Amino acid sequence: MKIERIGIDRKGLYSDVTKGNGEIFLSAQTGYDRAGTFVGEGNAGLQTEQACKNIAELLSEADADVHAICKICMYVPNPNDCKTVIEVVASKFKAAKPAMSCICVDLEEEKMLVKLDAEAYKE
Amino acid sequence: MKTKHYREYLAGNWWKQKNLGNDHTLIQNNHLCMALRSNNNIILRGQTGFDFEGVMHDVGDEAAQTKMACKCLKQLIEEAGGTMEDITKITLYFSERDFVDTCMPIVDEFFKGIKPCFSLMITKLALPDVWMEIDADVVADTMEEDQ
Repeated sequence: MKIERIGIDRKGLYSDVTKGNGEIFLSAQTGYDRAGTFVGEGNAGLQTEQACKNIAELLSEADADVHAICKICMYVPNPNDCKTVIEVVASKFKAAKPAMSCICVDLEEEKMLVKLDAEAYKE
Repeated sequence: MKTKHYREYLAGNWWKQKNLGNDHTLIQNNHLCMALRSNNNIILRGQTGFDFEGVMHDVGDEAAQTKMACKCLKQLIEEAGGTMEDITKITLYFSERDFVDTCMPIVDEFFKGIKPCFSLMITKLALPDVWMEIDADVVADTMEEDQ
C-alpha cells in the first residue's frame, strides 16, 4: 500500500507521521520539542505538555487534528509521575476522548520522564 | 472481515524447555500465531532472537538477537502478503539502556529507506535471555483472497 510519510527525524531515518488506509501513526513524543531542545528537565508535567504539543502539531501536518486520536499510550519511568502525566494528557486531548494506557518502563535517556505514543484515525 | 493466520503454534510447545515459573497452564493449551492479516492490517508477534522453530541462537548477544528479530520480521510480513514498504511504525524494546547504542545501528541500517515511525523503551522482557524485541505496525493492500 502507498504509505504517506510526513516529516523526518534528524538522522533522516524515521518519519514523524505515517498514514495508510485512514490510520495515522506517530513517532513517540517526549519532552524534546520539534527543534530538538529538551523542555521541562526534572518536570514530568512540563515534558508531557511538550509531548502533547508535538502530537497536536504532527497531526495538523498530517491533515488531521487531536479529534483523530484513538489511543494514547503513556510510558512513565517513575510511578509517582503517572497521576500528573495522565491529568495533562486527559486535559490536552479531552476533545478526542481517547482510549488510554499507562505503563511504567524506563526510557532511553534518564532525563526523559514521559513518552507518549499516539494512534489516530481519519477517513 | 476475514482474518488469515500465519505460522500458528501451540504456546505450550513454544515455551516447553523455557522456564516460565510454576503456572503456565493457560498458555500451554492455547493456539497463537506469528502473524495475521485482517483487511489492510498485518499484525505481528513481537520478534526477538528466537528463530521460527523457537531456538535462541544468540544468548548474551543483543546485536545478533536484533539481526535475527529484523530478519524474522521481514519474512513474516512478506509471508502475510506485505512488503517492507508497508511498515508504518516500529517499536523497540531493550532490556538494558546500553543496548540502544549497540543495537540501533543495526535497526537503522535494516529499515534504511523505509522511514517508519519509531518508538523505543527499556523494559524487562518475557525471558532473561531475551534482550530485545521489536514490534511493527503494517498497513498493506488487501489480497484477492481477502475479498
